[in-house]
Amino acid sequence: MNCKKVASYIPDYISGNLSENRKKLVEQHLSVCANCQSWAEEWRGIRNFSAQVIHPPADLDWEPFDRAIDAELERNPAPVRRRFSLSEVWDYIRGELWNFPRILPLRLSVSVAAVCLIIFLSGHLDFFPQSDQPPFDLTLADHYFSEQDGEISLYAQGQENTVFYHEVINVTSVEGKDYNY
Amino acid sequence: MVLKSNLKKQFSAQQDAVEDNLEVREQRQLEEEKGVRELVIRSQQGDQEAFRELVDIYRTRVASIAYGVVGNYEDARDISQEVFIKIYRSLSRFDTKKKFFTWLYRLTVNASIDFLRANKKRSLHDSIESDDSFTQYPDKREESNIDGWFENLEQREIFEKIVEYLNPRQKMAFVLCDLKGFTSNEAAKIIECPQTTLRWYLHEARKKIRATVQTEYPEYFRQGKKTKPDD
Repeated sequence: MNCKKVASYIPDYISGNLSENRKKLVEQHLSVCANCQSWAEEWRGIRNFSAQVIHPPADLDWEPFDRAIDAELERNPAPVRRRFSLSEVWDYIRGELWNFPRILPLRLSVSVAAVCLIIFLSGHLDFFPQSDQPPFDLTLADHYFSEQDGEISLYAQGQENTVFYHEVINVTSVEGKDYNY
Repeated sequence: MVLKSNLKKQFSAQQDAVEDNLEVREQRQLEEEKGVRELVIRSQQGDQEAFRELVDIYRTRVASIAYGVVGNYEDARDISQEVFIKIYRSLSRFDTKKKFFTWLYRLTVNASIDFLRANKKRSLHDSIESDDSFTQYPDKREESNIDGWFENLEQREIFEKIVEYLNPRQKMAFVLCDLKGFTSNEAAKIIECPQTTLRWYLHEARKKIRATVQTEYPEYFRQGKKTKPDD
């Protein structure tokens, strides 16, 4: 092991998060390399120092904390079993998405499939309700019609409402805007 | 490519790290004794005393993790208060098969980072000045404590200097792995990022800390000035 490698292992060595094998190698190196040894000592110093600093001092005033917890326990005597809130639902969805296997082609194909499914399903949605009978006197409507295979579809805008009127009639091919229906 | 493969080697080397650390061992003991799990189950059933015990066990740990990010004990305490209230409110939905501390620390991490986002403009200087425990001096502090007060202030400034160039995620990785002794696997679960990403944060954090220490405090940590909270 060279010094650079050992230096990268030293923090884990100090906090005891190194496998036995690697630990032995690091110890071997440390016993011969004064440079790395001094760095290890220094890191130990930094670590212990920082660990002490982040620990809250004994005289920290916990009273506001206790008061808030007491207030909360009083307000809700038992942990409430509530329905999911919107943010929790979002957190859950985000978590699920996050946990999805991190394989780019898989993720891409699944998202493409999802988009295709949405497009396919949206084709079956009725944005304009259809009816058999014209709901109002079509002579009053500004209307547009188009025809395919003998079926006539009429988009009629009346004075009160807008409807999509669909009827099977006997015509060959005709399309246009008809102001004199 | 060479760099990438080197990094990969380095990461895979750390991957088979054993979990042999004080804090982790302590956590595992707690979990194994089922003390915590039982406390959680009891507080789910509405036992307030059990919840209070949970709070007592974890509050300083939560506060210390929050301090590592926000750099102010009072704010850290407020964050831990917020975290415990959140925990209490969603306790009924917690799956007791999972580890309690992972959930708790994840909430802590998120709350700390949210706090930083909300208070972006506050600098270290402001945070030390606005810290009640320090502005109370000298009225409410006893005289015998003055030395400790100065030493504490100095130590906090040094700590802030050390982590000055780390972003919140890197700080979090440093605090969880190096100071609290979690393995990178557990820390990754807490921060909710892939393990490789976490190790990258850690790598960057250590590199920056090393550079800062070598330029700012070349001798400080070698001259027996170091303190050992563990001993």
